[in-house]
Amino acid sequence: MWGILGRRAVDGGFSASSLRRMRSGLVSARSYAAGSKEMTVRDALNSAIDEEMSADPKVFVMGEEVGQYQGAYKISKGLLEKYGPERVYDTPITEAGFTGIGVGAAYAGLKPVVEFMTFNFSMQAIDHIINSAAKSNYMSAGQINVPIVFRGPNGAAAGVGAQHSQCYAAWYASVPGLKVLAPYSAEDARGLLKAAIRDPDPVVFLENELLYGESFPISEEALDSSFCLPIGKAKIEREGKDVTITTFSKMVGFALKAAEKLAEEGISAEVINLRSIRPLDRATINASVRKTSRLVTVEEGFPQHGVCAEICASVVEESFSYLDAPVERIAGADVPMPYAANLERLALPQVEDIVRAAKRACFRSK
Amino acid sequence: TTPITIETAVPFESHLCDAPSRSVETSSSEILSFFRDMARMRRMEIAADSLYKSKLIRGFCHLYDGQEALAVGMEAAITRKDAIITSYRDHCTFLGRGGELVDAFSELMGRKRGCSNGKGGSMHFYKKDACFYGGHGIVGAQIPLGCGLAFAQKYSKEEFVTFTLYGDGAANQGQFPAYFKRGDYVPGLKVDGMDALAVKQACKFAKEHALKNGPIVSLFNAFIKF
Repeated sequence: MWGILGRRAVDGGFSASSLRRMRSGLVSARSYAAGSKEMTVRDALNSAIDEEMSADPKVFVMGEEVGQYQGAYKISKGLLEKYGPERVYDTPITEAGFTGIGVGAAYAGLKPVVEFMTFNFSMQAIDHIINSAAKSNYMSAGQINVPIVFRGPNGAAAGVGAQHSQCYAAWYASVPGLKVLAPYSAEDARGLLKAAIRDPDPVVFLENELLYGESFPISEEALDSSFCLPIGKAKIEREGKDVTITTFSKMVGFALKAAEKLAEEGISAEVINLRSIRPLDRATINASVRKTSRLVTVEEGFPQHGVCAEICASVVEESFSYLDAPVERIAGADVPMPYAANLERLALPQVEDIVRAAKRACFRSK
Repeated sequence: TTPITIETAVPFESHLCDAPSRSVETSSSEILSFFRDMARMRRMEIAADSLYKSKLIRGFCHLYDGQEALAVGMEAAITRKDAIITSYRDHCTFLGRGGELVDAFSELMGRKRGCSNGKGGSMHFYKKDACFYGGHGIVGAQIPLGCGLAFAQKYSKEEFVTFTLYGDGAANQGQFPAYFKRGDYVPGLKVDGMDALAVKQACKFAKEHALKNGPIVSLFNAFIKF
């Protein structure tokens, strides 16, 4: 088992100092109201899957190490013990095989939750995600629907190199027939995963390994087993009036940090957490830009043909006359992810990059 | 409807299991229905070929004429609650599952009346109400999908099976041979695919085997005309 895991990025595989560096970028503005509950993203995902499996016997989990090992990142911890091997399947290392089986099971009406150890490995199965799952409802004129969720960590981790660090949001979000979600907080994780599992169509659920251990305050409402967030609706994490910053997943934390820094300099930034990459909440984004007149879009993935590019196009198409500055996009560097820690840091957007772009949009700097 | 027993021309060959008997039970009405259905399928495919050559059918058009005995013999052995999934060579499988000629031709010619409203085309015929799950363009994709269908039947404790059909092209695709090279434990059957009665016998045997013992691979020797 360790031999198999040695091939893959595993929870706990980075040093404590790199963890601290990453954590400092992730702390968002929170209110520590006395008595408010907190939950890690990991527990949020685990509880969401648990509750949906409990509510619907057709829901089952499959993937590498999801059962006996309790999940490569412990997201499926306790599920094998609770639901048994009939509903929690440890698969062999064959994404093409088990994804195909999952899609076939969904054709027949079951509701699989397929875990990719990271979305880099989903490329082995992408034919089934796109051609067998996403397109079937259309090709069959509505006869076949595919109620499947593909979930797992997406984007860069820490020090895992080029083949284990890619962000697939832009790839999957370009495909009609798929829904693509990207949670940030624990509430996002719970509400969006429950929505995804209940959805009758294929959903690509992009998590982030470095967020799994992050704790967020969580409301009583979000802890209820019927809690669900709407798909296709972004969340305004922080209201502002001078510049709109849109982003998703881990970068939401960076954007909130950037907004704090900008506030010190008198710039009021509105931070939008997309939550849903497809369908994209163009209405919320455009309404915000019409209010602030400035757009900075942020993502971790490669710049060309990225999610930011789509948002820029949408804003230019729908809100051009409201813009007071050119649209800005901050993305990962156009290079395969390097391994050395200093190079990796340079290849990813940092808080300073977001601050600089926002100031540029406000004509406060070159 | 008086029962007739006919011996298949070619014996069955088996691997890791017993072969079914060569004596097939049938009736004159069943044999006549075989002829009618197979003739209809053959004429459909020949007409489709002409339409394709006249460019009234666009894109791809993979024809099944020559293999009619397979579609018809299989249907005689199973129910509409057993699932079928196949490759892009799906026109006659669709007919076998109860699809109408008009819906098939409409689909091939891109009309709204088509079985997929004109949105699928030749390779994407489906009939969900008869548990026919398509119609797949990517070679070999239907194999793990078919396993998934069978998985769902097992999960739901239904006494039905899935027939996953593929050709010699898919037999090379990674998802399939990898499983079988690991250990010689899946039983197999070799059948004369040009004999509808042999096909019927083999499919009946395969269904019983699958429900009791698990997957079985059957090689039907047939040749298509194009």
